[in-house]
Amino acid sequence: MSVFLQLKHLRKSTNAGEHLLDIDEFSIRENTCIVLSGGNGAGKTTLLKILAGLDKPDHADIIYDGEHLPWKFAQQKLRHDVVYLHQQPYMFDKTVAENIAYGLRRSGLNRAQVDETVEQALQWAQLSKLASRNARQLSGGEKQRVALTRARVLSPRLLLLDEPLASMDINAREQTIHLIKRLKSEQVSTIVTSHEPHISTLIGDEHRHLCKTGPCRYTVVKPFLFQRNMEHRSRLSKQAITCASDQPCEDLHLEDSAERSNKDPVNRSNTTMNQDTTIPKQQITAVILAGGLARRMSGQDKGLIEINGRAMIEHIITALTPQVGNILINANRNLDQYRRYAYPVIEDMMGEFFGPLVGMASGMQASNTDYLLTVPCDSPFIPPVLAERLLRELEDQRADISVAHDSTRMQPVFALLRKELLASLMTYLEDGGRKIDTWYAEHRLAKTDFSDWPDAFININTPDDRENVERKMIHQKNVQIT
Amino acid sequence: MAQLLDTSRQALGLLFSGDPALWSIVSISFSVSLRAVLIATPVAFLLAFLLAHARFPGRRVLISTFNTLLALPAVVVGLTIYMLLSRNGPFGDLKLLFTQTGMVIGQIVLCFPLLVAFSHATLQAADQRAWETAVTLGAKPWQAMLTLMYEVRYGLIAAVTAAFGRIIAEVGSSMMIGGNILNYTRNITTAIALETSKGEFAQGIALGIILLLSALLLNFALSFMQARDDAAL
Repeated sequence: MSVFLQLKHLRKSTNAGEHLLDIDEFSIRENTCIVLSGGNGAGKTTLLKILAGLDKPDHADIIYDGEHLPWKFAQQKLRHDVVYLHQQPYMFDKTVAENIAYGLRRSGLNRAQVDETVEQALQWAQLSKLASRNARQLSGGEKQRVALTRARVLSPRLLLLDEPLASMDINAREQTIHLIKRLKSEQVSTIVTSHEPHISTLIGDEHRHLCKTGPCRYTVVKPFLFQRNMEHRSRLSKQAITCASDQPCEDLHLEDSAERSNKDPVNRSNTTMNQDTTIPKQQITAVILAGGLARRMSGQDKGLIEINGRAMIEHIITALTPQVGNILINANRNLDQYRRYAYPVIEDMMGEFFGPLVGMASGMQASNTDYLLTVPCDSPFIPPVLAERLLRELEDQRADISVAHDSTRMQPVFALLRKELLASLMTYLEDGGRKIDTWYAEHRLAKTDFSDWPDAFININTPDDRENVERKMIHQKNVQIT
Repeated sequence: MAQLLDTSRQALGLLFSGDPALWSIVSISFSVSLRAVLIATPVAFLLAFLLAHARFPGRRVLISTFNTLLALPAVVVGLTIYMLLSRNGPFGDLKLLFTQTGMVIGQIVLCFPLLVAFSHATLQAADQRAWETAVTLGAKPWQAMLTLMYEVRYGLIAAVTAAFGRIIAEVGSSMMIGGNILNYTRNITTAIALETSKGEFAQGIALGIILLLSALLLNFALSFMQARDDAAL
């Protein structure tokens, strides 16, 4: 699928001089659905309006169908070929049928052709019953469907949907998603902005995140592509990924993980829990969070503390290997030592030592599996059923996050997360959020009981803890032997 | 009081007897004011649209100017145009003084600021999405403009009604520019002024009643139209 529209060096400021957008490159392929996420004020709507030719950028090199066009011509092309849908679609004060006919009437078709097309479109969107109603009278979901249909009859090359699912009930949401999927099957490229993590897997081929990066700099990040676009993914995974801080976090070892997963044929199948009762462990990437400061261990890197002759992280890797498809180590210090374990080592993508959420986000960005399992680096007794049980609970409860629970309290760093949460997590982090509990609370949470594994959450915070753990480990081994 | 009732009775008699002189006066009034509104409205709407949606230097000054001109007294307009159109004036050669065309010009000047100011306020408050939706669906800018005007049509119609109300009821400019010539430039308001000065109150009141009734009719028609559309909603 070739790129038909490319914008380079896109700059846009408010009249007051405040930067709204500063994007080096944004390109759109044919027949692709891009899910665009980003926090409030990241410039999503501004970008869409520029793409639709409704808003003039301060500067942009626009390449359309391989031609470099000055804004005046580009604007004409964009207004003709691109349709923008408002978050709350605007309905003309006319009937539904007349609303749908609006663009057609002005496209040079004769009355009979317009009527016929409108008739078909009404059936397509199951709006025939509402045809002669005034469009303003409709519910939010119905308006959205009219707006989608009104855009579709014009056969645009690119459709821009601004938060199409915001503030909709479940029914309307499903119908809208259904229509968007059908539009996708009709060779229309779409860009959908959304705060919702789910929508990206439901309809997206690509996910891009628009973020404020430092003072006045905005960059499009391409954190991951979805399974069905394998060819793009492997290509993209070799690209350096630009992200938040001034220093690009190139060292993500994506090649590593991509190769690793490509070798395994199981990874390619879209195994879901409903069809297959076995745990799709290849779809789980574990990230060991070793990026902390370990203040109580006088700054010693906890993951590297030796317990019975092996670094703590080795114990954890041993426990995780049979459970997951891939392992990542999130660390910010002693990187060379961590790299010895032959697993990709990823650094925090925004600054350092911002807490476990940043580590999770970095892990999610670097992984290309459906689920991310997070474990701390200082709990050596990882239960062998950790991934399996978390996943079962996640799917049973149709939750976003499955968190381990030890009967008294939640253990938030022992968690299984859906990868679609990255967008939400990035937004949360950009808005300055750091607290794991607060972010979890924004999502459907499944609490998974591990009270039958009392040792699972023992962690080492002090030298005394370490001795206890060593003793316990020796004891366990003895029990196993006998 | 008795006199007022008496003259009112006489006035109604005049109205229903179909006095040709009276109806000639009425038709002149309406024909002049309708022509003025019809000419002024499209230009005023276009200007109002540009003031609301285009950005050009002097925009704010123009808006303030039109708002100020709302307070323009009819006699001042009459006086100015009288001077412009009189034989010695710069447009004296057009021979428009004491003609209906002259009256139309005066009334255009009177209603134009009102049309611009009211429709500007309406278009300014219009939903920005209407314009964007029209454009993104392939409408040319002028088509999108017409769509936007359709969307805010009640506000615009109200502007036209107010403008018509102002000029059909004004007397200063019609009197000075038209000259109150019977069967040519004598309209309702100048006739009332004349009859009153002659002491013929009955005719004056009859004309006053017509003026009020026509205003009433116009407003009924408007609110009926709006109610019908609301019912369809």
